[in-house]
Amino acid sequence: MKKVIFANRQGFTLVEVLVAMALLMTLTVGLVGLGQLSVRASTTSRLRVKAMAVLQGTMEAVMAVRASNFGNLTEGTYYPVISEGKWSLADGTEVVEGVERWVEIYKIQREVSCGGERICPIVGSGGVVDPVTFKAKAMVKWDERGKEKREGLESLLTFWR
Amino acid sequence: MRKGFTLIEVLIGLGGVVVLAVAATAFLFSILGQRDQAIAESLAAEQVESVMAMVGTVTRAAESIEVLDGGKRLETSREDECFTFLWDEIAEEIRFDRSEEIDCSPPVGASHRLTAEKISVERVNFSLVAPDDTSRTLRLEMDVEVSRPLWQTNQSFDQIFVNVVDVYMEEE
Repeated sequence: MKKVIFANRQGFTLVEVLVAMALLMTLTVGLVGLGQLSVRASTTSRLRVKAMAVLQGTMEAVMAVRASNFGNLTEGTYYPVISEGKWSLADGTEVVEGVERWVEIYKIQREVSCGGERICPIVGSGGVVDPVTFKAKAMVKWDERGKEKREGLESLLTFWR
Repeated sequence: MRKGFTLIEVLIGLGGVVVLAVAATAFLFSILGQRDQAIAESLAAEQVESVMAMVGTVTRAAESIEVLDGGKRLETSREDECFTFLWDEIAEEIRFDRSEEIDCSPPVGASHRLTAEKISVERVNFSLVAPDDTSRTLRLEMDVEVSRPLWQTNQSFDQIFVNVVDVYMEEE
């Protein structure tokens, strides 16, 4: 009797089940990937916005230091701090909310002669050191899912305004 | 010859389908929620960046900067252009106004909306830090909330802007 019942039962073959499972798996993997992409984009954007704010703030503070006392500027790597109610530069780097920041200050060279112009163009080498101009390079560095990311801003710091 | 399913088979089948459907729906909503969160955060960042850019430009160019109403109001002025920025607590937005004339005073009210309707500005604090003879630093802190159909996000932003005091101009 049993043989009669199951002999005519219609169902899925193994191949059909496997094909259906493969399709389901492909869809699931695609959706999970999409979800991860959204989370990644969100995290990346949040970190970048924070890093850019820190970078901008660093350069702003350097401008305050320059305005306060240009004569105190020397070459080196610093980070800005408020000391005794005034902006100043401390040696080294600083980590602000997971973002490392620093500013590199170095002297620049200008062309020796530039045809009567008051201010000669800046050159990489072979010129004369300009005693009243520095270059400030503000940098930030942060970790984005194990990868190091960096952004920078550059500005000239001159004795004149 | 068997022609259908038994009640037990149908119930088991339905149970399986229901479990799968619930899991799939939850998963779909989670994906949509994450997408919404990413959009909301990006919208907040975009809005705040535009506020920061405007406040920064105005601050750098100002001759006089005043923070009033416990940090909710910022007034700046220079010879021919004055600005007022204020946080409207009830409407949860930042507003501004500008007057453009010689020897102007900052506008009393602020009729222009600076932040979009899609975001709620939960907190704003303007403050002056490290003021000395040569520069003033304006700090702007903002807490922003963005609501999307499936997600709500709160973000805090903090930025400083330095206003270098032009000694020579003041001496004149």
